[in-house]
Amino acid sequence: MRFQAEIPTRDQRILSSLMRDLEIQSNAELLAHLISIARWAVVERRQGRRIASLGAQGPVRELVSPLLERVAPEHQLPCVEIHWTPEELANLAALASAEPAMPAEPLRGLMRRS
Amino acid sequence: MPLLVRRLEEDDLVNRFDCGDQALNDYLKRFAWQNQHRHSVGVTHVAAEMEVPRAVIGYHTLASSSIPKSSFPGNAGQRLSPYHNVPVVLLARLAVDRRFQQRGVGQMLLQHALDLSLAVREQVGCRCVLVDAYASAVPWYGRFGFVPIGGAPAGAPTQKMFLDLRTVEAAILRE
Repeated sequence: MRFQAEIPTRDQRILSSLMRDLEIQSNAELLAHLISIARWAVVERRQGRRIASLGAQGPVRELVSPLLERVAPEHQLPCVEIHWTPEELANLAALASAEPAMPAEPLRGLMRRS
Repeated sequence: MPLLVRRLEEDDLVNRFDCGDQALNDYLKRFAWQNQHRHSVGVTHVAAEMEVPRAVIGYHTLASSSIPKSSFPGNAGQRLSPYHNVPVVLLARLAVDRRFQQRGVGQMLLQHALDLSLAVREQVGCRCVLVDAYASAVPWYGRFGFVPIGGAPAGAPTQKMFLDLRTVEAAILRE
């Protein structure tokens, strides 16, 4: 498969620097390595494991990425289907498109416990 | 009565649970664990007394759902999402044992469900919480800002209700 991408100048510089540091000769080789690392990170996070770096003496530094959190099991709710009438969907669209309502006092009281 | 809310576990004591509704009792006793553990069609969290942490006195079940953008009439779906589906969180079930009703357990479970929904919104993205409430529970959900979604078929036993997660977020931010 042929892969092409437009990237900003700043990322081009980072890419070149990475290739130098890792002694990689081609974009294809770099991409293959990055795919392996990304795949590993996704599999780890999907299994509920967190990704961190360990220093000899310093504190553990955790990699937190909103992208990876999309596959984290603690944020995965099982999916179910809801049956809708066209009228319900029209009303739901109106509600979801409107500005959010101000929270009622009981809701504020409820969330105060959070 | 100090309470805790946590994810349902296999050895939780659910056999004495009685909220007064057979379907909600049966769900907890027969399906909740299987659905959560084996089929991944709903995650159940239970309330229990700290002193008797295995005995379930209430529960809620959350699931994610999505509505195909194309199923909305006209171009209404277009305004809701740039992608194919509009993601939502479904509060599929919430029930409290009769012996513990009117003691704030339901509110505690609702708060927990909304906290989880906010986390889902933060990490994965979703617009709102929906609940398909029994008619008798509509006023209770209404107190907390759930809005009935009109247009259900005549004689439908339940009422779909909507709560914008931005409203829930604002309830926290205003403090």
